[in-house]
Amino acid sequence: MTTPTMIQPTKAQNDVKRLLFILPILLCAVTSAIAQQPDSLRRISPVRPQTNIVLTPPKGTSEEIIQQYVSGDTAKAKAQERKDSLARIYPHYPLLTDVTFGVNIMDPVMMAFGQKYGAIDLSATLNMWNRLQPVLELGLGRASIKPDDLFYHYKGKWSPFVRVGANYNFLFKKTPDYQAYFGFRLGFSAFKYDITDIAITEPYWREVTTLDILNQKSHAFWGEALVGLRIKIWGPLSAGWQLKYHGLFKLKDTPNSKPWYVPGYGKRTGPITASFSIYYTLPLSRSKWPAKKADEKKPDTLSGKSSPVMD
Amino acid sequence: MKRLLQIVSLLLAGTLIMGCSDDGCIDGTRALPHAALYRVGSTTQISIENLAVYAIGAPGDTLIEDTATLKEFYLPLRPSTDRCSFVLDYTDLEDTRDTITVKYEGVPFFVSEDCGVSFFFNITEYSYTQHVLQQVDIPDLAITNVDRISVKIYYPVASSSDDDDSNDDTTDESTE
Repeated sequence: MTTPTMIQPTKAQNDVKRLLFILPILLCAVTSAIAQQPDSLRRISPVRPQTNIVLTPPKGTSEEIIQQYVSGDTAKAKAQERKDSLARIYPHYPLLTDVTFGVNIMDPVMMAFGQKYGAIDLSATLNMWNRLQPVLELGLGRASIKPDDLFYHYKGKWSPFVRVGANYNFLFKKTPDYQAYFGFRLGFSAFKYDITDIAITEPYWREVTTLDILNQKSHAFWGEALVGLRIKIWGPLSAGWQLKYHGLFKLKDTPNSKPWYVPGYGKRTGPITASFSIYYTLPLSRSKWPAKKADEKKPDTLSGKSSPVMD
Repeated sequence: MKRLLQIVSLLLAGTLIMGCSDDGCIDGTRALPHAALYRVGSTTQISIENLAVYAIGAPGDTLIEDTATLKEFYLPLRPSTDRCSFVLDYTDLEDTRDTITVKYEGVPFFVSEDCGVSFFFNITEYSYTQHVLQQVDIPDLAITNVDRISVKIYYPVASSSDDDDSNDDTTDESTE
């Protein structure tokens, strides 16, 4: 019977075993050591010759942005600068920018120079964002014409009218003192008139018939498209033109006449009319208005154009 | 911008002042029944030679048309009455006349600023004799200042050719 014999490992085999045990430990240790190193040591950034310069803020830059430059946070300063620049290019006016009251003096002036009809109307305009402007206009109109070569006297009694609509201000980036706009209106008026001192000549029968046409009642509904300008005169006062193209949606004729004049519309046959108004503007939310350009110190340059200064 | 707006304002004011003008009376100031002569059964207008037209009761027996070759004429209604009679006197035919009588209501109507007020008429009845004419037709009984043929007087005249029933409105024929 043979006795089993133990085979003793050689020295080389022992060294290999030891190495296999130590190597994973070393690998883990190196990996964890690399992982614990700070990012800055691992980041590789291309370095340009002027990387270490500091941009000075342009002239006129606000103190807040200058402090950001001084503190070294140029990125934040530039972002703020850009925001301010956009605000200068696209100024945002508040929802309730101002309210304007106006009186149309075109017709009274024209009537003083011989026009036979006219109206006095007052307007109230709410300026929203310096763009959209709802408008309400109220007034009274009358007419009186007695031609020299025709025998009648048309007397339109003072009658009320109302117009509602809105304007869109093209110059919304500018100050509200100067406006160029287009708009529309819807108007309505109920009115009365008499035609008196009528003499109708029938030449063949050699007869002249005299009569009056009294108590004529009518109403009209119309629409207007307009363009206008408004210019500041002094302080809160401004003046403005409006050129209107209008048309009647409905005009009630009577059995004895077609109304010649519609209060607030003008002559029935005229498609174009105009107005000239004086306005008084009452600012709203004045503190939220963008600063006027004249008050600002315009920066010479914006980002990227300042002279670099070495530290 | 301010200067630009001021210049535009001045131009606008000038344009408006220059643009003001009167339209004038383009509607017509009188409401006159416009009569035209036709051949029976067609829309072909004819003309009649030596025809005189007048209204019964006209001051001074004034003639509306004095013995002329007529194709169309006007019949002025009298505003102060509600009836008028018009005589068509065929002077080539001895003592031969036709009379058209019209009953109407006069309505004063303000036309426009430039045309003023005129009488419009609503014809309620009409009658006529048939000595020479055969038929009178008033298709539109409302007589306004719009000038359109409102009284059609038909005569039994032979057509000038067998095939002229094509009824061209521009065709004229003559009868005596």
